[in-house]
Amino acid sequence: MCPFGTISSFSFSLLIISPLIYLLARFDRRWASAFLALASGLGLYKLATMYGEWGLPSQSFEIIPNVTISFTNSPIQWYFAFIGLGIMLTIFLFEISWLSKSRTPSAHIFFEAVILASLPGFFMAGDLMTLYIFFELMSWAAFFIVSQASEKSEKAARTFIAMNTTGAMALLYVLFLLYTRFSTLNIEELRTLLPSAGAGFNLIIFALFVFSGLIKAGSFPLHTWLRKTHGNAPDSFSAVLSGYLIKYGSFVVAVTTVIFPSLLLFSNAPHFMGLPLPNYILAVLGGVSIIVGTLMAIKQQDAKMLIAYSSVSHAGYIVMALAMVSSYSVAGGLLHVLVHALAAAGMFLSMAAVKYRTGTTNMSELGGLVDRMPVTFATYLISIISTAGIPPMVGFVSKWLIYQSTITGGFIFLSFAAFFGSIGSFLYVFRPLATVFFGQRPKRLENVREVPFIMQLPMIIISALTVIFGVLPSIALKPIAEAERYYGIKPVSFSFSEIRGALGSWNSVLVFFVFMLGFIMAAVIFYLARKSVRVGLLENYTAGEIPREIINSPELYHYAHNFYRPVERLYEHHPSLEDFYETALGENLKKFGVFLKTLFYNHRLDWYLYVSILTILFLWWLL
Amino acid sequence: MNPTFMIAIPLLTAFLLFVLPKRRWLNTLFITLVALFTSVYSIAGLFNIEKSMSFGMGGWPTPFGINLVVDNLSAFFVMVTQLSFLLTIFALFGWYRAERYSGALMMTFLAAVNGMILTGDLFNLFVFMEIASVSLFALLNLRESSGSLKATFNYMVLNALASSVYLIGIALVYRATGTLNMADLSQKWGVISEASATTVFLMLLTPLLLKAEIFPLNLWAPRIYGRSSAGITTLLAGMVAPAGFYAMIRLFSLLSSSGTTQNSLLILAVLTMVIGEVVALTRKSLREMLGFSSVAGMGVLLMAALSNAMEGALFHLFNLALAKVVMFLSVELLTAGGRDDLESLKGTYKRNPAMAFVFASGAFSVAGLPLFAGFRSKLIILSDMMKAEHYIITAVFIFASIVEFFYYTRAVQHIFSSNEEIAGGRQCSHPLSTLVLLAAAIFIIFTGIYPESVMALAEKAQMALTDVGAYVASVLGGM
Repeated sequence: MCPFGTISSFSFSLLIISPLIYLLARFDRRWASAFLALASGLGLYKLATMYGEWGLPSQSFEIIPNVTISFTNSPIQWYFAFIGLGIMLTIFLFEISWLSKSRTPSAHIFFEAVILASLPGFFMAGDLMTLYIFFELMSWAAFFIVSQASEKSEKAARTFIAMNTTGAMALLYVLFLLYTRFSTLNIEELRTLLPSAGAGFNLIIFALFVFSGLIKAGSFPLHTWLRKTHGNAPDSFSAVLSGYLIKYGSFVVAVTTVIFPSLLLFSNAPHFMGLPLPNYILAVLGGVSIIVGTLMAIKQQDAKMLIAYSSVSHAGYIVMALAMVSSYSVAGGLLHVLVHALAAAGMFLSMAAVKYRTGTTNMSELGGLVDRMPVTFATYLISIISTAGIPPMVGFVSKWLIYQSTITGGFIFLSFAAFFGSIGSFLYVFRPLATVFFGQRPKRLENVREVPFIMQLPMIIISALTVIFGVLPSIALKPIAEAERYYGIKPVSFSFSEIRGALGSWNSVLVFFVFMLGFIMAAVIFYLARKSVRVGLLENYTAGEIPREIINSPELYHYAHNFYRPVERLYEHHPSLEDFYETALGENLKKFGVFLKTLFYNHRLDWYLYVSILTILFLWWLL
Repeated sequence: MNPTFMIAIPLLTAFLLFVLPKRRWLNTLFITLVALFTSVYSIAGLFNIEKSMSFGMGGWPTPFGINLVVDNLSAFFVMVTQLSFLLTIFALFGWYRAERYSGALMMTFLAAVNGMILTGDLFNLFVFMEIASVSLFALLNLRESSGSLKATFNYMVLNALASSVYLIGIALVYRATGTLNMADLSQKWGVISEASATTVFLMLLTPLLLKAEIFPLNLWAPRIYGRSSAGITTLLAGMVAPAGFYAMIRLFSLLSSSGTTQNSLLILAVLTMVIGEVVALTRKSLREMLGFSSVAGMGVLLMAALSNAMEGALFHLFNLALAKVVMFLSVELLTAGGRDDLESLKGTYKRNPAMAFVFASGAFSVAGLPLFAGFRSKLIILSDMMKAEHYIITAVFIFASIVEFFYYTRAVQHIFSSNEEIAGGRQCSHPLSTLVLLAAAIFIIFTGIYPESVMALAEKAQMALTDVGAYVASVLGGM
């Protein structure tokens, strides 16, 4: 039996039974969600058995001559698909209970089933047409899930679909350019065929691929849909969007730079600091994305929108790393896919948990939830430590690898951007921590409880994985090194406990034990020298004093509002790309439409004559 | 199949309706049965066509008498128009009962449209076009409010102008070649000097461009679409436009035209598409949006036909006609004939889930979402256009597709919005119309997954179109 038949049958059978899942959800939403969790678990198991058996495409039916829906298995594709299914598994577990907050649980589950089906189809695609089809299915399903949350989210969903369709259509165009040229769309075949085409052709291919990849990845300058969409999506789905769906874009970028040998394709193009110019420009765009994402995240008032901008910044890391195509950068970029998938899922799920209990994610309405929701707090804490790239978590390892490549390559701007993003993320990820979990608890949140266990479970899994991969990154680096070997890049060298970089080595196990030691020592001191009294949260941050005002109007002392005002002031009057796209493209297109309508379709008989004459004159002039 | 039946039976029915007892249900039943019969007959015939067949009328030998031609192309188009007609009749079954006037008019209209497609004679084509138009004008105003009166009047005037241009064109052709038989003319077309040929060709094309809703001769169309009820708009989008398109591509293949003519028509087609899509984006009323979208769709078809993607164009025509008919009908049933602006449509899926589903499948098919029929035909068009190296036009087509995708998903999003409480309970439409439209919607999805059957028909039709020799031989008996 062909082992790859299994992954296509996974996709197709899930698509076929998705209406049944809808009916199941109508009957009982928990079963439907549990069923999908089981299905993703099954998919994970199948993928695990496929590890190491690369190549061997499987084909199904033909779409256009010489192009069939086909699937293949290569290390990068396996890696992306595996993470994706893992994230989906945790989300479905979470939703078993969370769905009671959804107004349209059956539709939600139905479209998520479509997304689950599209996931292995997209990542394991053997050819670009399969990739395109499953991408369209995904964005279509995501569009409807996002629409369901609220009145506002409908508009957000439209922004999402407009930008993603543009990206998809660019992909479709480039796909037919390739098809006309090579009469195949098979990724492996294109890998060998592309170097024979001219540099100009390859540049167009590269540019269009990057365009569609950056839109999907939510990276600068095409990141504008992220804030609205992630911020207004149903809470648990934000975790899918940020944790996994924007990795579709990262994958397209990986296809462009790593799978298609971009360094070889542009070997005759002008080079800048040892990188071909197209790759360098892409890396710079990634760097700008890090900076923009960080700066904008600092400004956000809503925790979900804040995390959305942090996704922009992390998408930037991945794009930058993949664009440099060196041993360390590819390893770092691919590892960062895992890092951000875990971190974003962890952050969004903890925020979903907060909203599940409190009904809001607006930071200035929250506070002091640490002792009410300890698991949620711990998940958020671990995720942000990983996001900020602080040692014992996996987030440090990927950033460390990326630093290796930017520093050894001598890229000053890219190094700056990478460090800036890292330090900036201390600022913004701390803010929800301080204002949602610490600080003063508003009266109405006194009776908040921790979420049910079934919702805690996925958060615990994600936190545990973040720590485990941090201690033993070699587990994740194994498929990554395999991928690098597969695509002819020198694999990173690592052992069970140590990664050897160009600028030194990183023994994660040792570091973990040092951290643990420090933690234990601190705990010992804390418990031995225990003279403290237990104080309320309120007294804690007024330094023991209880001013009179705080009793009468406590909200004055809530410091979530304008938290980073001094920093924000530095770039208060920045131009907004979001507005630019909306007005320059969206609104103006509509205005143009109205103009055309009044010009041509104003239903006056004499006008028909003028228009006809003008058209004839226009054609005469043109030809 | 014998093409005479396709014209004679509906025409006979139209007259018989006045002889039959004055019972509404009887009229409706009669019309439905006749439509069913002609549809089954034409579809059954479609699968049995070996080669092009010509039928001389009234015992006159061709090219002196009028002849009807059945080949894979004309049979394909007859199938499309018949299906549209059948769907309309069935879907509106519970909605309105046919009065004998509207019934007779619809039957006359059906006969005329079938005639337009099956005829092999230019003058006969004119006659059928006129019959189709006149019956359509009457239908437009039979049950309509005053809102559509002006629109219909404009349409009438334009139509009359275009027809007279056509009439002058055929007079010139007859003067120069002494024949109006299309096959015969294609042999003698070289007699006319190139400059005059271009003029005459464009004159012949004028009413066809108007019927096929190509800019700038489509200025009448959106208002008719916006103001009329589904019974009429489906006849326009699913029958008149395909018939006009058919006559156009037939003339293109039979009569050679200059590169400039083809290029200018290609530009007009692209303009039709872009203007249609961009204006549709701004429309708040769903019917008007669909109207502009139909116009744009015809632009896509002509563009594809003129840039070497004929097979894709024919397949797309089938998908478009089906999807448009289904959408117009479901909007009619969804809104219960009432307001159709996007805001008032919010959450209507709760009222009539079946129709919402039907609309969504039509919309996604036209928008070209994978799994739906329109996606497959768009892919073929794209691939063929790229092969013919029309890079820029393809890029424009891609842009138009983005716009189209956007406004269709927006419409579907409004209908399926869960953020609005809807007044009134569930109002399901007539079970027969629900059943028929659901079947059509499922067929759209089925074609999206297994397009082979329809594609084979489109391929055969395309071969019949390019094989001018066989067409001429069948008419003129291997001269």
